[in-house]
Amino acid sequence: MTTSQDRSSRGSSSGQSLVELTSRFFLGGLAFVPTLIVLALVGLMGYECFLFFNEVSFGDFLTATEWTPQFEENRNFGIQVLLVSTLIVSGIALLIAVPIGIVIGIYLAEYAPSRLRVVVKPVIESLTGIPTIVLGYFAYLTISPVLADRVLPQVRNLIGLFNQEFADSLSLAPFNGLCAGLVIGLISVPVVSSLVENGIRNIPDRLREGSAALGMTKFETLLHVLLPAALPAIVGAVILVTSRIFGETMIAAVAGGAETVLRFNPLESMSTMSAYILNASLATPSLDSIEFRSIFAVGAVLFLTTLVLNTAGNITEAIYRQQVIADQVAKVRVADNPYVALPDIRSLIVAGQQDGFRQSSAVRRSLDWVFQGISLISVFLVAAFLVWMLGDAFLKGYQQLSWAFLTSLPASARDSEQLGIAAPIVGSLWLMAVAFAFAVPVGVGAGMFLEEYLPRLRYGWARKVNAGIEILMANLAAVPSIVYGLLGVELFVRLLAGVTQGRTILSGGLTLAVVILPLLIIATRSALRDVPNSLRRAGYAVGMSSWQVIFFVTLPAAFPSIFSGIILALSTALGETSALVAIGAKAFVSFLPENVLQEFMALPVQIYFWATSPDPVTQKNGAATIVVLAGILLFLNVVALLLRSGRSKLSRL
Amino acid sequence: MEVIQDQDTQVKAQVRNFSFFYGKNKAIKDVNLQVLDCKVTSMIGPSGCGKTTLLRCFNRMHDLYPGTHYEGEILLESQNLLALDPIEVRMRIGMVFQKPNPFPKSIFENIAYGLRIRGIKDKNVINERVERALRDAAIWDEVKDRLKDMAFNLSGGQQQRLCIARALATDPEILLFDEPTSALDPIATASIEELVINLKGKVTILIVTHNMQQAVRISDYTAFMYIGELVEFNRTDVIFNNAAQQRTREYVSGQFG
Amino acid sequence: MNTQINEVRSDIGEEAPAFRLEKMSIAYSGNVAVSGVTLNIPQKQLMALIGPSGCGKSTILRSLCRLNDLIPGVEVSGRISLFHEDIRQMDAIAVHRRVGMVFQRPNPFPKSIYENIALGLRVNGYRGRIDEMVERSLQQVALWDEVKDRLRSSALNLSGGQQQRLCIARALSLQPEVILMDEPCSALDPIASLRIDNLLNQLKQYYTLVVVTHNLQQAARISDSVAFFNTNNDNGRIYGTLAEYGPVVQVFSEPQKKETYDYVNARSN
Repeated sequence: MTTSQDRSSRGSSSGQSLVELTSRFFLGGLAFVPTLIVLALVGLMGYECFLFFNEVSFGDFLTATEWTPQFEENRNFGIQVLLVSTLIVSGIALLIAVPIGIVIGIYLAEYAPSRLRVVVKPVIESLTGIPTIVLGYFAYLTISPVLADRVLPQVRNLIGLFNQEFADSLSLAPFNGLCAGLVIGLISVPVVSSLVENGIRNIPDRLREGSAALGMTKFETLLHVLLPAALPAIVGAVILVTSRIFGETMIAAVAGGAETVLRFNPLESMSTMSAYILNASLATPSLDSIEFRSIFAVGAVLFLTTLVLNTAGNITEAIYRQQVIADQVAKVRVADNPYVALPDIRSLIVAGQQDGFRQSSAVRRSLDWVFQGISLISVFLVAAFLVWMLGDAFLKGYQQLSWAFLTSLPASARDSEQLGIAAPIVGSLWLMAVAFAFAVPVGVGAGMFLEEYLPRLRYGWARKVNAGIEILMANLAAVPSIVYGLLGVELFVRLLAGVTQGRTILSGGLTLAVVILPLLIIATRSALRDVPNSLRRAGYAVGMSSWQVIFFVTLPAAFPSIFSGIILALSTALGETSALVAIGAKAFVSFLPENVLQEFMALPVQIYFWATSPDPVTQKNGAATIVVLAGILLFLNVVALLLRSGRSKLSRL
Repeated sequence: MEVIQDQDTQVKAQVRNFSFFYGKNKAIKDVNLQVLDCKVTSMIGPSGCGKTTLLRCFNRMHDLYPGTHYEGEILLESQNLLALDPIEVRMRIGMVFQKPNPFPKSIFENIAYGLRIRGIKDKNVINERVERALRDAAIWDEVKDRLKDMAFNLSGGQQQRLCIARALATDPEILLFDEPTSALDPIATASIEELVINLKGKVTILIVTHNMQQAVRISDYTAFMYIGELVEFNRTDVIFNNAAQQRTREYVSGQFG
Repeated sequence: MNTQINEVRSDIGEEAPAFRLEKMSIAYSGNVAVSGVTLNIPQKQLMALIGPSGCGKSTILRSLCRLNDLIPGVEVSGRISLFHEDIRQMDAIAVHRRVGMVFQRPNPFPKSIYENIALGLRVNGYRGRIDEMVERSLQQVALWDEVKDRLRSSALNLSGGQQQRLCIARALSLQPEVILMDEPCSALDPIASLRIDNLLNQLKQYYTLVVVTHNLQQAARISDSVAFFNTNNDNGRIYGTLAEYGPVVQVFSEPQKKETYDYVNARSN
């Protein structure tokens, strides 16, 4: 008897097998990196939490109703304060994101004519490409005043018709949970819409044809056939977006304010958990203080919450795939007997008796138009928000844009009129170089191992490990980047200070590498997964070994999508703010960095510092920097989009 | 074990007490079968009978997926295929799939690839063997002026013949066909069938087909399988006109003839 | 040719045709796929549409119930009348209901066996008793006895052949005047197909059936008349035209055109 186990362990002397083994072990090592990151995250966070709970009792943490880490006397750490704010802001965001996202997702999947779809989809999804710091300032500087000056008086008048006293009591603080929630909700629309769209689109066309052939309208098909089938995907989308919203940091920190008071009124300033972490990191407390540890305690709560939500979301999605996408025909062991006598059906026939049905298709069809109307309004809302935001930044900042603005150092300027952004541009370039030098080889290599080698290993545990890593990766990608910022502080700034020299480009770059690593692994895996299996089989059938199939057949076919994944990761890294703030990017350095062991500025962090400035000219410089950053990101996204559309050739196979 | 006695044929491969498992599920049950040299042997049977599964055992395609294992022997001449390195097996046994699957490369490269990984570096040899394979697959005249074109600019039938050429280029000891015409229209199907008939006497061919007429038209021997078992194996005319087993007779008469 | 052919039915052409196609052409975003088809589809008979890939037979079939409306860029010109009414003047939903369709791969909804049939009835405002119609429809496809004890279990637990019969029952439940079938057996094994063939032979006595098939043997086995479509190559543009149509014996045994002869004999050496 020959079993697979003893075959796979049999060594072979040929040189080919040596390459095979080397590549397998090398890539396998890379695939271990994400696990190390998780271990580091859990270990370091656990360690700081342990120290924190040595000083603060767990009971107080849960029950106290004040959060006052800065007090010398009578310090209180009641997580309720931050939790309530987080729930209120997230609740507002969900109220916006879920209905609008579902409607737009359905519209894009089923109704949008293809010409409209190719415009609407990138416009909606470009919202996710805008750095949240930019949106945070837009919420604070533009939306909040509009709400306070234009919208609130109207609302007061309206409510005043019923209850004057209550109407008079309404007032909007400059920093408020409502604004933060609104904007977080709007930018989360594309997350919901694209998951819902995919969920519906993945339902095989034969179900649509089947119901159309029965005389159902589009809306009836949607209601009776498609939505029930896609329900788990929709539930999964809602759970996943909740987890994203929970971890959203920059918008909450900038627009929501920093007041850590137990409040239930979203019109007032409120600090979410992530916002607290960011604001407390900015104050750069000493690394051994209770304040510093409290950051980790909050980080741990945030991390665990997102972990639970994500796992739940991923499980729902797996159920969906199993139930709906998989082609289901029961295998019967007993073959059909073709010789069964057919019953006499003469008496059953009722062909062509149309009187049995009600005529009401005009009413039925109108629902299609109503739904399309609602969808277009939703699309318009999101697009208007995008245009308003970009237009606002451009109008405020375009006068400052000049060659000198791009190339001069802040220090060379005598006044704010001549501030330049050469230092943050160069800083960002350095950060990208470091992050990509680490993340691209690890991410692509690990993705290759996980997708091409691990599933084919002939051990029982390999499949379980792979399933585990898949979940792990989905979770890593969803960990709020502020949590990675904390990991960076503890690991790179503190423990590896001997190597990184503290708060330097190297520390910042490595932290960004950790942020984008899961994105790269996921992009690589899905690119490889899209390569049709028939192509691999063709390779094996002509006698190629695994590594030959991967390097000569699979990888070349997947390359455009992998590359587009790399570019999208680049744009994420470029816009990443909160992790860099936590690491300690500088508000001001007077030189262009020349090596990785120097202090640094970065474009998004520069925006963060400038746009808060009370000086209107500096604020304009902030707006100009936003225009520069948005321009670069737009360019990168377009490149990635073009690369992805080039892939369609493969699908013809 | 059923033994076919024909004076002019030699046994190329022999399946002996062979079983195949997906996990614990025994998909092929104690099959014994002879594949005769330079003949066309077809495997027929209802969906799920294991014919494709058995075919894929010959070039160890199942090794690509975890949780599968073999019992028994498949002897190629005198060597047990199951004890060899799977890559070596695939070097010696070619396969053509249900749907044409050319590499996303030029027509020429599609064939040259298999030669290069066998260590053939000499350009003249490669050119010569590519041409020979394309001629053998009866597609040379159609593509000789555009060998640099991408393979997916060919029609479905041409792609399938290209895949056959790709398999032929490496002088396989056995050529496996997995329902090679099920994705093609009748005219393309006829051309593939004609090609298979022309290859008789040059290559040993094992073909899985859903279409019983096709088995009658092209194969010398036919194996009828049912739920993982080999029910009957004999000369094609015997299987279709004078089968020994009741189940075989029922199946082949299910299609009228 | 080694095929068994049905007896000629003498009633061809006596009743008014169910469908009358006049100079029908179909184009996909400007590219002609099918050109100038004029064809009568007789009532209470089974007509098979045959021809090589790309000849447009499935496209024509889908146009007969206006299913191509779902695909953007498809334009149908000429006239298609269903019992003298131009179907493009009719309400699309009414057309879907009067002309049923069964697809290449069985496509039951991921719902219970009962719901698969009841849903169409309910959405279309069926006035009668739904339970009764579900049973009737299942009986007509000889599926009732196999599933009557598990009407509430998922249709996906049926075998491929059973699923296809369920889909036929689903179409029958709306009491259509014509049922179109697009290679209804191509995804099934020979035995399940044979069973469907037998069923079609019975149903064609009561319904007008139009069946696209790749399998000439099947066409010979089940059809009363056959329409053969061929591909034409106009400077690299492939489009289909109707080569000939007539009673099944005529098309298979005494085709009027050489192209028909070549096609029906291509597979039998």
